[in-house]
Amino acid sequence: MISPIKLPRTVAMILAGGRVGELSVLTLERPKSALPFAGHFRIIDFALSNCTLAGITQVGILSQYRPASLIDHIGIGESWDFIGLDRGAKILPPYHAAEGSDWYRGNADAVLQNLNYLQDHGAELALILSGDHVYSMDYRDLILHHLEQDADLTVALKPVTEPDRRFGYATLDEGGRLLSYEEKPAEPRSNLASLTIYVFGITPLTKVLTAMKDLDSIEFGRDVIPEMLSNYRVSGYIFDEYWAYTRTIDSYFTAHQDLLAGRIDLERWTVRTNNQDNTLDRRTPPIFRSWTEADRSLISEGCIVEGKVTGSILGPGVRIDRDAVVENSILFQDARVTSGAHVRQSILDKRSTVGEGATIGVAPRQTRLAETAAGSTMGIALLGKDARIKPGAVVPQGGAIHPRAVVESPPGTGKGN
Amino acid sequence: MPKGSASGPPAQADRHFDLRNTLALLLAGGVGSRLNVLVQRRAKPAVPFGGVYRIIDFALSNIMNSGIEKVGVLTQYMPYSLTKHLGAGESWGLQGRWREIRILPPHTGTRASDWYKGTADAIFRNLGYVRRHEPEIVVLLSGDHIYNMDYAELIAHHIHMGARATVAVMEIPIERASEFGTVLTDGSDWITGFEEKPENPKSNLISMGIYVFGASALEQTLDEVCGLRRETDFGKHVFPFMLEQGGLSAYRFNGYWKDVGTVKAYFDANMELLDPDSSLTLPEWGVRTNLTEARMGDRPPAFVAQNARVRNSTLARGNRIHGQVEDCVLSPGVVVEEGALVRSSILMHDTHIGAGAQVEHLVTDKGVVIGPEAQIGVPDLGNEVNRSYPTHLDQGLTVIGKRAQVPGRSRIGRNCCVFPEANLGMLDVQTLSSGETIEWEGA
Repeated sequence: MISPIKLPRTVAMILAGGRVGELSVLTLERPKSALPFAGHFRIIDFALSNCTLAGITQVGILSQYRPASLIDHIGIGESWDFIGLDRGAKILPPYHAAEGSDWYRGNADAVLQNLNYLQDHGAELALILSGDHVYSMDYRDLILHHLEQDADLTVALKPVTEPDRRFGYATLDEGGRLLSYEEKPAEPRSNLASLTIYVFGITPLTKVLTAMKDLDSIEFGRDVIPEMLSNYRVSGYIFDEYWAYTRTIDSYFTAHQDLLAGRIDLERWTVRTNNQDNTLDRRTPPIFRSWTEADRSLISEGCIVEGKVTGSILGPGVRIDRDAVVENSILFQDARVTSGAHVRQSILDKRSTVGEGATIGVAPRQTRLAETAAGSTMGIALLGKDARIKPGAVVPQGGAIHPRAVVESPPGTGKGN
Repeated sequence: MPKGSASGPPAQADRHFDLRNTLALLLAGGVGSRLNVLVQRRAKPAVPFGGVYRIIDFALSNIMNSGIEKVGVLTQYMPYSLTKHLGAGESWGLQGRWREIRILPPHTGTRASDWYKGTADAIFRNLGYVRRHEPEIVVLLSGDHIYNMDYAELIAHHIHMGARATVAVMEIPIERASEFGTVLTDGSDWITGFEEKPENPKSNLISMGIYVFGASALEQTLDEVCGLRRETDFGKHVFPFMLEQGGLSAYRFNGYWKDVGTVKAYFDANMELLDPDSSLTLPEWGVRTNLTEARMGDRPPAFVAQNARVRNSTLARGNRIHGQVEDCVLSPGVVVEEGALVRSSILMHDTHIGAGAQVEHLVTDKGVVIGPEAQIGVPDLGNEVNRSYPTHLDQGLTVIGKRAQVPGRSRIGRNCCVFPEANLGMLDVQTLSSGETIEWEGA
């Protein structure tokens, strides 16, 4: 017999957290979940849109690092259908409490400090998500699995071919119960990587977190899962579809290449964004001139494309002037590449400008660079927000320019202004 | 408030007026029948323009950018698209404690129960709405035109002149003046006469269909002209009546303004968006639209595939271009498959151009499907004007109505017309010579 899906009241908590050093100049002024993605989206749109798809209507967003762009982006949540009766999306920053105040000490501590948000909204289940993942998952399947397994905690796992040491790995028994879990092991015992997507029963979650409240820091992978393995029912949910995280420059860049290759289907995934954020709603359609050459690229609203663009993602309002070349690069909103400039294998943050004849990511990597794109083995060059590259200047492969920094023209070019 | 009024404000106030005391009434009931199949299912102001906009967005955005906060939209013909488009007005900042947009459909009352009989009649029947807002100034606009005007300047002119009513006018080449209502003025911007589509125009100043009234002048005049005399039209009745008493000023506008009332004019104005030298400069105009419609705001950026070629065109969200696109204006969701070539065309939302199709001089409405290897606008099928609509389709453009389907390998000439929902495959039509029309009695 077929019955309608009726799930217990589920409240989602999105770990939208902090800055990660590995994203270098891109997260100096925004949390990693607010990074632009695929032109006019932000990475957190994936988790939020998955919630919309699954009919989850109450979302708490845990953020403590420079949340301004996130606050603007979430707005009142109407873009993801979070307004109305029993609906809402709230940013939950660290706060002062009677017993003192503290910054979040680990991702599980952030949830611990906001247990009342879950309780106040009548949560029977807590869905813990990360704000920096690129994927489309119907959380209802995950929740149904959790219910079928009669579990206290369900951990989403993905079979991986090349184990990455940043993940935690689990082993399962035949019934789908979690047998072991290791956080960031040197030699993983399985290929099932944890996606840091969890479903908790509210009672076990409250009990376990409260018992840990005096620890210096609490992490789900390091502390909570191992603790629960011995005394609770912990199940594993296998998710074997596209999933990427964007915690390093290389993974962020690679996910965009996946997008151009069609492995990420934004339409089918019904990814939504806030059109009021960054004046997206007042941009005019992108225009291509009669001499434009563009292929294998994603072009957002308000772009004016006059030069050559290939293998690239252009955010809203990007301008590529005539005789400029942009290859395999990601440009955030209102970046500008002027005539004769050449940009290759680079990420240009908001409003950064590349002067006439300047090159970014073209000249070979230098070992004596003051700062390089940390952890980028792909040699991706980075321009921070509002960085200005003067005419004729050179930012080599792997170079990273700080927000608002100015790179002067080389001496003797006569273009020093 | 007019200068001449006995209870006029102190001189200081002459330099300042509060736009919150202005009410705009937007006439959006026009059929615009010369737009042919594009207006079979919607009023002219709701016709899409420039990829993501509708024609009415220009007037609404002007209202917003001018600082006017209250708008009544008078509808009559096929209002559904418009109603949906206007929403709660939030796209134009018209939703709020004091800001509002209201749709004013024809209604029955104790005295009158009929469709609007003309522009003035429509306003006359909504004087109750006007009174409720107690405005000082009423601006009457039409939702039919592509232009960018600061109505605040227009109102300032009206107040400065101390006029009872002001008509926005613009100069055009005198050869074309006979298509419009022309306005005669004295040397100081006072109107001395009107001529409706004169054969031998005495003036090259045309009325733009944009009027400002002091609220009491509007009420008095319409009570007399529409109430007592049972007359119905601003151009034919109201202004000639007002001329006798004087106090009609002209406001000269010299920016871009187009009445896109024919398929050709509509096409040309869209093409001007592509011209870097045109004064139709949307980024500077600050035009807004409602992105929740047709899921426009939910779609990803335009994707240009490997080996695709896009030249002199505007794209939109959700486009997927695998073939060649030249001199086109595309709306959201348009797909051009591999090997297809689309030139000099306007393709509205979710039009699908099949692989290897060749398309030129085409305007498609939303959801049109062109099968693979189809050819449209081909020159060797003649160049006859449309036999059913010789005055609508005589410039080589073919128009295909909403969700019509053209099977693969079919051939369609120029000046052709395909009705909304028509399925050429079901009709077994493989070739449509230039000037032919496919009618379809659909739902």
